[in-house]
Amino acid sequence: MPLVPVAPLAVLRATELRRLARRLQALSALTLHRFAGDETWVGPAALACQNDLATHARLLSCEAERLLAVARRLELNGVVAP
Amino acid sequence: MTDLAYDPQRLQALARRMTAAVAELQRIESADPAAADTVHVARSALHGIDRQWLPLIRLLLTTDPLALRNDGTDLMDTTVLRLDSAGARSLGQMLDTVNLDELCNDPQQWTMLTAELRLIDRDPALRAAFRANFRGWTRVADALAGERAWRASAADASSVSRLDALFARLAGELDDDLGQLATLQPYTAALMVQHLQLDPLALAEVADALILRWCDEPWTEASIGTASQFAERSQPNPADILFPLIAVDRRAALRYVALAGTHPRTLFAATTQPQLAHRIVLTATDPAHVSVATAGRLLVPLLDWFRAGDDRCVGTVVDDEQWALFLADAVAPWTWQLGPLNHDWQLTPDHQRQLVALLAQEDATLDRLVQQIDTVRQGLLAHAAGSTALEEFGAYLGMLQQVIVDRRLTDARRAAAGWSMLIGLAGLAGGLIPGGLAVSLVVGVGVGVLGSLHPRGTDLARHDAEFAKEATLTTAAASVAAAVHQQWIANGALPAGFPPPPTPQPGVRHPGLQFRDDLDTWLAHLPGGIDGGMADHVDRMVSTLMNAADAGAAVAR
Repeated sequence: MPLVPVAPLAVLRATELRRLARRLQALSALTLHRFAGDETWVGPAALACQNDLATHARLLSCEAERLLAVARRLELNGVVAP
Repeated sequence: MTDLAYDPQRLQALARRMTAAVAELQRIESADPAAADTVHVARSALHGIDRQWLPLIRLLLTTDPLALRNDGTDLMDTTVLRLDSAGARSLGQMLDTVNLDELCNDPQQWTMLTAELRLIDRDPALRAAFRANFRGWTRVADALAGERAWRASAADASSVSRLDALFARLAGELDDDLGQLATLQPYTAALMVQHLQLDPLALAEVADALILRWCDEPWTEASIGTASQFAERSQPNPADILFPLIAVDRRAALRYVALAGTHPRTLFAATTQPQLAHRIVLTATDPAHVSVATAGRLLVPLLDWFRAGDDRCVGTVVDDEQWALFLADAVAPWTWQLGPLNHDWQLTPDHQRQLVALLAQEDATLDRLVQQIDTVRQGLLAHAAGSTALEEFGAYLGMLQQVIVDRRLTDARRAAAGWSMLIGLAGLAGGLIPGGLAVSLVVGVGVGVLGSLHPRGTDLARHDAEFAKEATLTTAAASVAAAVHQQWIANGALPAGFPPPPTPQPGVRHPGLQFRDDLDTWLAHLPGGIDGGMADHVDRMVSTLMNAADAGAAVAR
């Protein structure tokens, strides 16, 4: 079964979402928590900060993965049989 | 017990990473609906890092909380105690890139910054480290000044106070280089200047330059105040900030008024508190501290400005409702200098007449002058001297009389008050003869003569004004005669108990003519008779006074 080109809009969206996902994956914020541990500071506020930074990093990573998945779906859904 | 510890160098590195992360997160944007949650997550991370953790780390880097705190509580809410060079550098870098909206909306940051700048100001090494990394202080200062103006308009006194404390610290960054003020908006510069403790002359000169710039500046994106505020001249102005400082310093006031004399609009049309401008002028021209010539140099340009009608030019949105009273207060000690024969201020008679006409323009001004009779009298006694004083006084009295006559005062109370003032001044004539003293008895009689005045309309007011004019001059003449009589009794030229000269008679139709008849009778009884030397002496002085009064009235017409 021959494939036809995906819809241009879907391609554009997928491209942009992938680009955004790559930017998320390159954020310094994803690694901040590694530098906010006991070797840097100690105390309730320090711990809360590290946890908070780790949470942000995890959520940002998840968002990057999700965007990539959306991009894939857009490309797949754009493939239609004649 | 909670363990608290930190490594400053690692914290410094973490702060740098956070700063970079914040910049990256700020660039995460997308209009794709599928990325809406992503943008929200990024904003949440940005907010947490930038608003919560970076400020805390900055605080730690600029303090030594562990040296103070050993109670096991957390590191939050510590006060600034110490700042090292790294912290000063970091602060400079942070301020250069700070989000101004966030800074302006966070009073806690103002307080922290104030404390940090206080520490920096005390230590040359910190100052060097800070300044090497902070180049955009104009941007920060103007933004904070805009916030201060907004908080002031909202009557948020607490915030204004905190921001003023911050400006006191920012002023230290000027490092006595007043040239830097030119890079700031005038309002911002004024907020700085108020904390510089400049000497009075420098304060006056800086204020004049800033207020003049404020008057002339067009609105731009960088301006403090909106375009509509500029259109109606209600943008935050430096005069409101600096005038209170100038008004309480005599030297600053004197210098400032001298400078503003070339552009009085900066004095009278650039503040929302006109009473401050009034205070500055009154302080600068206080006769207790300023010479006659200086008072003239200061006041005449200002009076000319009002005379030209410039008081009605558009300045701030606040109208100066007290300007007529202010004019009277400013001139009251110096009315003698406006007399037609006076040359203290080197004015032409025409110029003097125009200034007197200005005073007579508003009933409120005349009323105030009447209330200020003691100040007017003191001005006369202080400055009227010399062989021509009596002649000058006559011209002065005649001029004032004519002004009141021309006003055609139909209000009985106002007319009576005006003429009573002139009668009071007329009584001073006796004090202007060589060695003479003012004779209060004559003044009392003169006021009694005026008791028959009852203005009932424009025509009758003019008739009564002419009557009062006659009564006033008669009082002055009687005062001169009485003073001469007292002199002669004192030096033995007349025997004790020799009858005094006549006084104006109440109830007569023409007090002047009656007095002249009575005076001639009295002169005839003097040693030597009516053609003797003593009679001639009195007659010449009275004639000098009366002739000069006629001349003065003619000049005033």
